[in-house]
Amino acid sequence: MITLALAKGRTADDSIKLLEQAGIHFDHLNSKSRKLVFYDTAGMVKLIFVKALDVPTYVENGAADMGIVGKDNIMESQADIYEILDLKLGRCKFAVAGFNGTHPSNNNVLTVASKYPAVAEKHFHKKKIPINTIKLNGSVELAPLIGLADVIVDIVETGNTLRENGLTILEEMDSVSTRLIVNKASFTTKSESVHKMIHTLQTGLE
Amino acid sequence: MQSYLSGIEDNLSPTDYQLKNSLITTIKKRFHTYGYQKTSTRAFQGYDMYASVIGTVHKHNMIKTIDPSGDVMVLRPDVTIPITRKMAVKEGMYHRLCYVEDIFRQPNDSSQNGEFTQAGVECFGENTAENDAEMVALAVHILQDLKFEQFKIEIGHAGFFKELIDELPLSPQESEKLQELIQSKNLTDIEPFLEDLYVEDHVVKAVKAIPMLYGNPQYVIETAESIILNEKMRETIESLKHVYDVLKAYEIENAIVLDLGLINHMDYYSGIIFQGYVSGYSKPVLMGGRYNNLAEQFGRSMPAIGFGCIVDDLFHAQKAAGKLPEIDQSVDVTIHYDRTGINDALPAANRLRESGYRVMTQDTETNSKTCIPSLLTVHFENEQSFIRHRQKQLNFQSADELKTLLQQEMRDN
Repeated sequence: MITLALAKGRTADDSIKLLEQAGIHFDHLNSKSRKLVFYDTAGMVKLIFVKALDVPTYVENGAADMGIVGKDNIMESQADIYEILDLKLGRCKFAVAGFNGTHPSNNNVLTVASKYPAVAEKHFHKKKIPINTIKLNGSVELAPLIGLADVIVDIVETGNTLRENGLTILEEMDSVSTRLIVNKASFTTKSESVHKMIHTLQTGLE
Repeated sequence: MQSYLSGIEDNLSPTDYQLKNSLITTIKKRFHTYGYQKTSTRAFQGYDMYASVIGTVHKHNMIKTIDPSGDVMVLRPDVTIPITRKMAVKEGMYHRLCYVEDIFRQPNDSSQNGEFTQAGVECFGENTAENDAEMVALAVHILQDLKFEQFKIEIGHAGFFKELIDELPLSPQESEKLQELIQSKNLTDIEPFLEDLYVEDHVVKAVKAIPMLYGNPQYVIETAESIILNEKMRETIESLKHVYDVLKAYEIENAIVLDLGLINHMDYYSGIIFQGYVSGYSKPVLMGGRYNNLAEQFGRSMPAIGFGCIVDDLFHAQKAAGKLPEIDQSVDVTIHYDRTGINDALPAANRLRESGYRVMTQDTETNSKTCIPSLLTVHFENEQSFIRHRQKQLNFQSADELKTLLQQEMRDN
């Protein structure tokens, strides 16, 4: 039996649909349900629902053999895992956003608000721009509006939320989509069932 | 007092300590049967030695301190480097060495432990496929000794990846990025990464193949042969093939998977690298490889190979698998005595201890209640002396008689 951790939220319904397409069926499965553990009808997969950012942690520590989660959360967690498949769901982009014309000035350290402080730090570190990060857990767009931060780093799908709050994309960063990740030990010690699962999902994608 | 409580959960209980110790004993015994002799290194090492060696522990991960003369010292972050230096500097050293040492690394966050025990071997002066395979066989042997039923040793080659990226026009940052992508078998992002580089198609094909050069050795070797770009890569595959043949002779090929996408973060490896996983545990429990060029950095060329078992991980894995042996916490004999018997009881206890029995003594008149169970009890009470064992009472008059009776009773046990 394989334990699969699924990220709650944005992409949960699409991920379940993909599993169904690949022939992995769950009874009474509903992302709105409060139940957190489900078994598939063939008795091969145990599905657990966890908070998106926790999925890489579950997989890295072997609490789940595999996980389905957005690239944004994988990048933020910096977990040591295999990132095997692009499930091509929930596509969006990381971006630096702020008021039009905001530039990192030479005198001041840029203040960046983000749900993804590790991603933000890595990005600006690479560009050799010193920053202060403020970790927020939601409504990040608010930060520049009320002067908490100069810019934000967030994932952008349509850009509507940004526009409605008078912000624009200042710089596009990495693209994001939902990935299938695998624990390195499970990949080796449970290789038969893990590889079968990868193959099943791969065929489901085509 | 609160501050003393944090971290207390890291301390092993006495039973766990015994178990960890018996695990170490098992490993050490196996090392000895392959001709290894125990060595040790100092806990405080010069920072400069680690800082000067290329491709070792990152300086951020070392725990530093300053000695009275102002030199920076580190708490041993690795054992291979000091042992290699000793080998390189001293003539005539025995060339098969094993160790059990604590390793110290700066933890990334406060939840991690910065100290762990490693038991390992280093073999100097040999550079053959037989030697490589024997190392892997020793690793397998240890996992068998520890009663793990399902485990795998992943074998890769440090040269394969290095020789491949020699074919690519990469900046250090880019090759680090590519290494990251290969380590996470991230085919999705390798493709666009390579597209930006404008390299030839067959090189792209080779790089894309690496992460999936994984699994059954026969299959991996055949697939790898089809993407070879230069003579060095061919030699690498040839040497892996040879190692695999020897492993077959050891009859352990079922425990082996090849993974040419395996890259060890220790950059000093030059030949085969390997790591062991046991079923149901999410981290590698042992890792190692060949490092033929390390001794050169200390002024002497000498091939070498070694590996280390992470004792704490092996211990937790054994615990998770329910494979821990029972620890006998009882003693053989408890001697109960009162004021009239004390002069006979304590000398008797010592005589029995000299014969190797585990003995506790207890004054029946004080109310101390030690709860260590014993197989049988000896009584010097109310001017009488007797053994009590399984509802029997056996009287004795002298210490010699006591010893004879004990021997009989223990034999029947």
